[in-house]
Amino acid sequence: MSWRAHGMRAWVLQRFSAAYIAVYVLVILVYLVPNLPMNFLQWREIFAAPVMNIATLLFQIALLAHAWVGIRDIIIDYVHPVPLRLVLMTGMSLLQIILTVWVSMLMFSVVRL
Amino acid sequence: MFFMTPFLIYYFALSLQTPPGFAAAVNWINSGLMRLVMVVLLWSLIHHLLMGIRFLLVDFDIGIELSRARASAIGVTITALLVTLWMVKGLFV
Repeated sequence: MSWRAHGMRAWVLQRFSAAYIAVYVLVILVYLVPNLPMNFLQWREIFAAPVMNIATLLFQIALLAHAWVGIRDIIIDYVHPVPLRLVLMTGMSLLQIILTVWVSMLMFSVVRL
Repeated sequence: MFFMTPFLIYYFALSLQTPPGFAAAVNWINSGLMRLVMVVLLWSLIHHLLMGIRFLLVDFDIGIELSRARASAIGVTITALLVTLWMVKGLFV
């Protein structure tokens, strides 16, 4: 079987994105949450710093990949009519793209260069 | 969790863009309903993370026997709940 056909690519994508998401969340929990509450400037500076800014954008991209595979699996398992499958897959992909554009614009607007 | 992402991104954007938006976001998180929503999301995330690690181990044939798989499923469910309670205690109490 080819790399594409047996779903190994989706499996690897899901696991690698999961690892990135887990590391990002742990960094937030360990380094950010204990410093709460903070004021607007402190809060904004965290995400304005280029490293965190890019890491957050990458987090959204990892989330897109991870959720895409997960929702796709749910649709494949539970939605059998092909037209409905197409509609749901297209809808969720569009939503994911819109959310990623939104986060990209947000991160671009706060970054300190 | 998937359907909550648009809401979370909106909330994140609100807190980052302007000082009044940040104040509104802080005000919001201090309400009981929002705290409940956040606690449920935190619980979902921790449960998802631990269950994901469990499935990864099962993928590598670790704990694949039915009895051990059942035990680890219950173990993960209880652990996720305890970790969530511990974190909530640290955050809000």
